[in-house]
Amino acid sequence: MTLLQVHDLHVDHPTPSGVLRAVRGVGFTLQRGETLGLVGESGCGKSSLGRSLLRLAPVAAGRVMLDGHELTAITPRRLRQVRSLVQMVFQDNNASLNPRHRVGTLVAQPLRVQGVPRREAEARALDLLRRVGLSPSAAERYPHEFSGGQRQRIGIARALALQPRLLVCDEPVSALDVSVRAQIINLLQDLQAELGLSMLFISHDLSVVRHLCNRVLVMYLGRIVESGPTEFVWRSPAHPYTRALLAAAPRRRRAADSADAGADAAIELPNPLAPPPGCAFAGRCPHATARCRSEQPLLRALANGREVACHLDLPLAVPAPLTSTAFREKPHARSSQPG
Amino acid sequence: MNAPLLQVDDLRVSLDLRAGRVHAVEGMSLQLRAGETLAIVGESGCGKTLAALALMRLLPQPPANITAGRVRLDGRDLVSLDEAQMRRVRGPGLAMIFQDPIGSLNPVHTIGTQLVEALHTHGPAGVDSRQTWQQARQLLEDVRIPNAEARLHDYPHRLSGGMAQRVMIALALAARPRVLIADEPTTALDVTIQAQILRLLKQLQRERGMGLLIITHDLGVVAEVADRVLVMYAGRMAEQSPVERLFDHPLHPYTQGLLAATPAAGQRPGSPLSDIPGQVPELAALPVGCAFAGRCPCAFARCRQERPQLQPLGGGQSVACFAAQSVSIPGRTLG
Repeated sequence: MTLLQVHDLHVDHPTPSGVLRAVRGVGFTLQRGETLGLVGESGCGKSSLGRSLLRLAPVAAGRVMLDGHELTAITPRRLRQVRSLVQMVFQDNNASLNPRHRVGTLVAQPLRVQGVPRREAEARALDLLRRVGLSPSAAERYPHEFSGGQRQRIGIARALALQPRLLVCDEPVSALDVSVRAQIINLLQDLQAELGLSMLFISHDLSVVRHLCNRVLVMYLGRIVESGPTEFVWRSPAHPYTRALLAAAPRRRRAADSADAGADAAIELPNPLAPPPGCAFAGRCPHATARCRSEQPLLRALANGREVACHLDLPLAVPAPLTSTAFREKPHARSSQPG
Repeated sequence: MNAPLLQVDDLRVSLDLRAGRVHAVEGMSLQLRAGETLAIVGESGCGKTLAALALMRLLPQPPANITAGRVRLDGRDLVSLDEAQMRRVRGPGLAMIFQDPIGSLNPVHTIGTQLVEALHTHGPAGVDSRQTWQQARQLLEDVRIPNAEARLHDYPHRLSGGMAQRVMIALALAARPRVLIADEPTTALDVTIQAQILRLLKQLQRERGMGLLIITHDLGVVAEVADRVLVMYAGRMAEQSPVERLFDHPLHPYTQGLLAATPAAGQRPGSPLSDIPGQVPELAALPVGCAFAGRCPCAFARCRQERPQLQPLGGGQSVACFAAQSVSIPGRTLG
């Protein structure tokens, strides 16, 4: 069953040098219990997209339907009620947890906002802390007394307080050390299975997305350039940008060995305030044609529930290097058929 | 002939905090040869950055102090140098780039001005300014920045993270350093840009025969560029190893845990990741024995009473772990 439907969403940020169109016509659906990955590099609009689902980013056009509520056309009062359906976990919990409140207060706060009496809210906060693997005594302490991983647990407890249907996780493990990152990933997976949550998981870390997500959206300069089941996208990426992303994931000795061939010139994201006409990736794309530079490619369907926005019909069979941890070069535990 | 360019013996750095003195780096030793890449890997707070700053003698003093150890560059001990002498080592001897390139550049001067300043500081006297400007442009071209001439007139805020890191590398190269220390050089960058910067560093190293010391928390970066790896945990050396052996045959349970905690290609998506339980201990409250014992699946009584020392186990690997040492006979060649 569909929980979230996003249709032709645009997010504009006014800046001193013009309007930055962070999200330019994005549409997707998210099923109940599904984990959808959203990958892309800094500035591609993935955080703006995530925040717009809570109306925390200015929606310029488009529709967001969550569980039958149209979030984009709702009064502020109703919005507060509907927001309990969708909650967010942030990357930087130093900034998202008020340092002057005790953890118990922080976790109880969403409940208080929704009108739950203080005593009941605080009792529920203790439950939530236990659920994310913290001791109830954590409630009496302040955020700075905790490590990064523990603070992320606090952030997750707070996001769960209102029993949301959808959790938007914006780079929730990017700031964490490897050993702690695995703990938080496991926690998110357990909670999702227990509570039947849907998740939009925003990350630049491809290995984490592949591990957690059933489906993935790849974003480039405000648009979705590819989407599909994670395994298919990983094994045979259709868009040249997805290929570049996967190919850039670290691999054993690659930089050391390819240094002979010479380092390439700096090529980066085009200016989002003045995007090029046509395909935004054309300037970096090894396959770009004249058409790519003049005409914006639209998403078109491929087999296996995949979509790609590319004028070229690149053969899908190109084997991709698998994940950012391909450096481990383990044999694949199972095989799957590329589409 | 291939004597180490940089040799560090038993370096110790302490921090005087309000709560008392903590030992942030406890006995780090390493060797780096010309053209070689050594990675120091560890999680936040393991002392890797403090160790690098100690090599550069850029530690904030107080609270930090080098309490013991020797740092020799081409046989010359750096720890005993005074600040004036050390200033002449920084640049042509050791140069360093940092994680936050934009924050490391001066925001009120153009890139050209900053490069020219670096070239004047380290170059021969009496070079005219037009020549220096040419050299600055050449440096930007060396780090593969397009439109170098135009970029010289830009201010740092105009640069993306990847471009700014290239400029930082150009600045570090201005003095033609023997050893380049790169502290998390790609952590703030996107993965496609990271790949570009790592390739650039490796190529510049090859062109110039520099020793490269990369400090990172990212095993992916290690796999990509390093020849040898030093794994640190809570200020101590846990393991030192050639890069291939570290990934194929990690010896320290901490290294094994780090590798297992990373989602891998062969792993079924959605299956639980093996994590390392618990957290890194506070430096102020390190246990008596092995710092990792509290999180270690292999720990036994001795690990909690006695601190393991780094011991060579053959194959170029050494490890500070009683469990690993007891299964391998010291000195035996593995594989």
